[in-house]
Amino acid sequence: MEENLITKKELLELTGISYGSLYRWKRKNLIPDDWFIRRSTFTGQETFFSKDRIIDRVEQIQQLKDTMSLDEIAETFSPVLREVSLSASEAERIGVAPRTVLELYAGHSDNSGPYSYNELLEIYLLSRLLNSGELGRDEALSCVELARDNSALVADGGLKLIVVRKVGVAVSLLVEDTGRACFEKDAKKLFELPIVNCMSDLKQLLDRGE
Amino acid sequence: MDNKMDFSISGSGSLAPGDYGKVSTSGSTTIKGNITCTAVRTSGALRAEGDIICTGEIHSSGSTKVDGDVTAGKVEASGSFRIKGNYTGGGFETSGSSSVDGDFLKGSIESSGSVKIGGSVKADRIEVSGSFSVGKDCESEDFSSSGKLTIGGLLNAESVKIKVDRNCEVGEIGGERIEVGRSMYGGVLGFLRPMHSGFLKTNSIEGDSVYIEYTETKTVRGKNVYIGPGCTVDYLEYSDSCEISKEASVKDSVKI
Repeated sequence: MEENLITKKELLELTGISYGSLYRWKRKNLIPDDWFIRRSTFTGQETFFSKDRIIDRVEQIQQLKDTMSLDEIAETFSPVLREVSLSASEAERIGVAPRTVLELYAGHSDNSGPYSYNELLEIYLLSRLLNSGELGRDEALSCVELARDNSALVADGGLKLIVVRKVGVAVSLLVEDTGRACFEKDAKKLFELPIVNCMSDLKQLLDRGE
Repeated sequence: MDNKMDFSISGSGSLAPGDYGKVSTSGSTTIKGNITCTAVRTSGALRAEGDIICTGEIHSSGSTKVDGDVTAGKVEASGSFRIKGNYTGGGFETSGSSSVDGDFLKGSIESSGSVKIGGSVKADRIEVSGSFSVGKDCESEDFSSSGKLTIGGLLNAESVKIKVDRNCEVGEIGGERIEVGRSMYGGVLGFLRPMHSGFLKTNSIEGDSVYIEYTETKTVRGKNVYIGPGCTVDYLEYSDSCEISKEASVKDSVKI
């Protein structure tokens, strides 16, 4: 997915940020070191970013930086697992997922709460999948099972979830965040989401809900 | 002070692993494992075979060698000070020769001697005037150096000031304000002349305000850029303003 990479220069042009800000945010761990992808080009070494991920992050920082210090923002983004326990109604209240999704999750995994961080992450993922409008309930639930079966890898935050469909059958896969994947021509990519985005969104919901 | 035992030795001896108060040595001492303490003062030869966690200051004027990691409120060393592991803590102030083979994880560096970090550095402030070398990346809010400088990876700081009095080599430089030049002195007739004849060699410089002299680099990217005498730049990209000295060579330049 070469087309999804942008150079540092393009990022600055697109978002209007300066080199000073970019390097400052890197120092403060607002942008993780491994998001800076080094590739050789004809002009020498260049730094690239995965486009959607970096633009999302820059927009989040720009929104938060007027009200929070850089260290506080970094805290928000750090995908550190936390001790949480939320009932289904609390999860609904802080916006992890709407009631219908919570009921679906409860019915499927025979667990009506209280939910741990990992379970909340699964619920949030389920909600994002269903919200995309591209997947049926069973398909979304099988994605959640995939995430659960690989929870240790998922917890590192370095993976993204991709869902493709071909001739009516949906298949979900977890791949390295910065890795590339190619698909057959008639396979349609329905959904792509870096797990780390889910984690930082969930963390913000939890922080706000406290 | 809680009832931790102070330890003091002035001949040759060894210290068992454990939890201590103040540790002071003036002979040749070996610490036989990990210790925690509130302060260390050593003026002879000290060798620690494990980690040192010191809530206060480590003051060393002899030769200190630590096989493990060091965590300290502050380090002040004037002899030789070597850490084989990582360093975390407050100010790292040295005037002799010091080294950290692992990473410098937290603190500030102030040195007029030689400092060598094998891994990467994350500091608040770095002010070095002797010789400073970092194997990987070096991050600091403020960075200023005036001696010999070698950084293998990226030097990333809010403000970078490099006096190229000796030859310096840095992988890449990025930050808000970047200033590279030679130290000057007033000559007989009052003209300012450079005191030394060093150059900086680097692959790229990226900053909002870039002011460089005596620098050889492939690319410079910035908002406001000044390319001074003695510079060789293959490619320059700027967005607001740019001034190039007659004594500089810039192959290509683009305003974006």
